[in-house]
Amino acid sequence: MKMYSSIKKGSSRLSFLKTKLFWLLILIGTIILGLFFPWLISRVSAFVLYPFHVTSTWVKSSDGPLPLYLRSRAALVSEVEAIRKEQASQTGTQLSIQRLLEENMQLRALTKSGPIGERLIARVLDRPNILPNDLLQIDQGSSQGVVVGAPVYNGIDGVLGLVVHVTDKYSFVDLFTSPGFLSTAYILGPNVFAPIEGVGGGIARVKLPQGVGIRVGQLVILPSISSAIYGEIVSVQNEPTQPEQYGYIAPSQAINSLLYVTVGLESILSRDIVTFESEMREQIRKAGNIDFDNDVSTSTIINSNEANIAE
Amino acid sequence: MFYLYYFQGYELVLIGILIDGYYQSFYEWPVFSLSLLGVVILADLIKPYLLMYNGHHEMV
Repeated sequence: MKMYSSIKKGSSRLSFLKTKLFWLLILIGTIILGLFFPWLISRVSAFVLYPFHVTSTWVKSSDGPLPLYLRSRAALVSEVEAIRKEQASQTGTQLSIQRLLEENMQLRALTKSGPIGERLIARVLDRPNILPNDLLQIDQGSSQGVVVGAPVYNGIDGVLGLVVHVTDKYSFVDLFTSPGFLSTAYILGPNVFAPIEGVGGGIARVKLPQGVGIRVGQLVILPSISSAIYGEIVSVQNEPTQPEQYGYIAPSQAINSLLYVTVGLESILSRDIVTFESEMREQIRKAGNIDFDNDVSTSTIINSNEANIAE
Repeated sequence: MFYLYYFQGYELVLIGILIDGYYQSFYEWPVFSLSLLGVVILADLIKPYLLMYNGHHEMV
């Protein structure tokens, strides 16, 4: 059995304490020395930490592949963070818009005001599963004031399509989801105009270039009528190798469950450029008594009209 | 604290002095060095209360 000497143990402990106190005093003395001579400590530190300083400078400013990779990675990480913050704020803004729109619809329904007075109420006679090509037949016709191009609504804000054929007693409505339907829509969220085309089967799609941030749930509205909504984006098809992306839109209510719709009394069909130009020529002819051939371009007409005004 | 339980920790104060000197903190107050020195002294003071003795009265 090993024997321990109490004198030896006490002496060893004293020596240990002395060593500890010695090193503590050295460190405290170094700190006090540094307070009196800060330049000395700074120079010693700069000398000892020179490898660290060189490495740090190399990472921060070198054009080598590794520092470039590290810097670009740090920049990308910060960019991702910034984009996430921006996305979060955009989501909040979009939610606010949706909440305000829903609140607006509820208030309009409560006060029974708004554009509902400028519309006819029509009953749906036939639905898309009976009629081909997503057509809807309603029981109001030209005798009640329905015109071709009039928008048809579901409720107050939901646009279903446009009247394409009118008889005395009934009309046909081309749904915006019908194949071949083309119009212009405005997407809330990215706040961009986009062409909308019907796909069929109760689905339409908007076509946008890559880079525009469309997401599921964003509202798509008919820009020519205030607060008229086509529906919301229910799916996004985005393939990075393709130049365009698609957002698929479904109406807020299933078409087959519609019984009553409302029909606007005015057509919203836009005039084509040929009609517009011919009407403008007619007006200029009446205003300035200008005689020109049919193949004169619009700019020539305007220039000659300006010349007449100047004379 | 695990490190200070098994080692004295004076080298930490030395590193703190070097870092304070590199960033020229000695022109004001070397907060890093003083903090590390305080932590080392505190760990040294409370270490005896954390030690255990076995059946042969040996400190482990």
